[in-house]
Formats: sequence, structure tokens, C-alpha cells
Amino acid sequence: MNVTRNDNGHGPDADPIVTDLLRSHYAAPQDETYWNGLEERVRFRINELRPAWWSGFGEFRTADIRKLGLIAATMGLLVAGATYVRKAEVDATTREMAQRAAVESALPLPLEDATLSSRARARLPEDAPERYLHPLDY
Amino acid sequence: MTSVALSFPAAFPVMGTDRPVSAEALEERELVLSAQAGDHTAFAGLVHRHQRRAYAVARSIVLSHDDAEDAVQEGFLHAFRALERFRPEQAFGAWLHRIVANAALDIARRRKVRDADELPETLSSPHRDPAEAGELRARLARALHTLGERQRAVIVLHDVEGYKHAEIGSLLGIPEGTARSDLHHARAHLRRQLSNLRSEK
Repeated sequence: MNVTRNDNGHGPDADPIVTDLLRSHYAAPQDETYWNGLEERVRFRINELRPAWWSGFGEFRTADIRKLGLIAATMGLLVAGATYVRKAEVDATTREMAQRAAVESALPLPLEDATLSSRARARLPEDAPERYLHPLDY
Repeated sequence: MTSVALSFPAAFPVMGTDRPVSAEALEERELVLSAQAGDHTAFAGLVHRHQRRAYAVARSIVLSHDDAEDAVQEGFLHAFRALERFRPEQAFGAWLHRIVANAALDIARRRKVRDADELPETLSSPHRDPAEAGELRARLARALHTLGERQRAVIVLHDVEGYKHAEIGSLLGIPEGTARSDLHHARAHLRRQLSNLRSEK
């Protein structure tokens, strides 16, 4: 490595002996086979990175996952809401039909059986309502 | 290698400047584009071009040759994975060296924790010419070990690799002024630690 774009390690505060020592200590390997070997090792490790079937999931970024989760949650809420409304409508219809059926089945009874006619009321003693309200006083 | 049909002008300007780009830079740009298109051989071409410089950057940060090599490999792997995010109009070398520097800083931090109790002599493992590994070398290794990680990287990048302060700042993610001041302190520290070398030589 021979790059001398600065003061070349010989500035006013640099010690040439220390600089030479450092250069000797940090000198890169000169042997070409070393570099070929390093290149080969890097290539080998990169080839090991072949995509596996699950690697596609790795391409999802956090933001994508968050966006997908938000969409799924919104869809879920919409479906749940729609199901609830639909069920409430069905329940209301069933209740209304049951009430209507009950009312319609009760209509054939004669009206006087269910209410006191003015003739029956006339036969009761005058204090009948008081007796019913305060039975212990009588 | 997959050839990519590109019709570059004879020289295109670097982003934001009118400076023409050399044929070598054009070739590198082609390699980058091919690698981005999934061509592993093109990426190997980039490894071939940049591995020595990448090693020098890594070696300035970590304490041993083995760690520097690990940092280079890690750096290239990170770069390969992040290649699609690289914009071809940038300087590939600067981008790669920043990645390698980060990988080296990671390794240096892990090593610092692991080797906290070890003697400094064990940190330097010369890979070449064992005959040179004498007392002088051991003392330099000890002196370098007593330097802070950042100051050590700055002095090596500057005095050994020839980087300018601004480039060092960009590589290590520190302001240019900090790089300048780190260099001054590192030089003073090593001069003090090895002060008797002159009298011995």
C-alpha cells in the first residue's frame, strides 16, 4: 500500500522512527497467494448465501410488516363489525316474528274473557278494590 | 461474467462535480451494476480490486492480522447484502471501506471485552516473517495497546495508509477536527512510550 496524500507521516509532531516502526508493523502481506486465498474465502462465503425458500420473508422490512398488520387488523375489524350487525338484524327479525306470532295466536280469545265487562263489575261490592289493596283491614 | 450493456459517455462527471471519471472507475461502475444485478463473479471482481485497501483499513482498527482478515470478510459480506442500497454514482471504495471499518470496530469491541484480562503481548500475532518479531516489535505492540482504539486507528490510517484527516473522519464517523487532535495525541503518546528507542538504535 503506497498512499501518500497527507504529510506522509513526517509532520512536525511525527517521529520518523516511530512512523517507520508503525509501517513495518502494519505492512500488508506481500505474498500474492495470500490475497488469492482471501479472495477465495470471501467468494466461498458469498456463495454460501444462496437464497433458501424462507429467505423471501427476510425481504419484508419492518415497515412493510407494520403496514400489512394494519391492513389485516382493519379488515378483521370490518368483518367482525359486519358479522355483528348481520347477527343483530337476524335476532331482531326473529324476535319480531316471535312476538307477532304470539300476538296473532292470542287474538281468537273473546275479549270479555280477558277484561271485566261492565256487568261483572256491577256485581262486585263497592269496596272490592279496597279489600284487594288492604286485605288485613277486612 | 455477465456483460451488462451500458452506454456510458467517454467520461461522465462524478455526482455534483464536473470532474471526469477514469476508465478504471467506469469499469468499476460496470462491475457494481453487474453485481447489483446478481452477478457473483462481478462482485468477486470488486473484492479483487478492494481487498488490500479494505485489509489496511481493518488492520488499522484491530490489533491482529487475523482479526483484520475477519473484518475484511465480514465487511465484504455486509457490502454484498447491502449492495442493492448502494447508489452507483457514489464512490464504491469509500462506501465499502466505511462498512469494513464498522466491521473492524465491532470486532475490536468484542475482542476488548473478551481479552480484557489478557496481557498485551498476546494481542499481536504477526502473520509474516516471524524472525522480525523481536523486542522492538513487542514494545511497539504494547505501546499501541495502551493507545485508545480510535487514536490507534487514526495514527495508522494517517501515518501508515496516508489518509487525510477528513477521510479518516468519514471512515471512523468522527469530525475532521477530532481526527486531527487524535493524531496529535497518538503521536505524542507513542513518542513518549518509545522515547528510548533513539538512544538504543
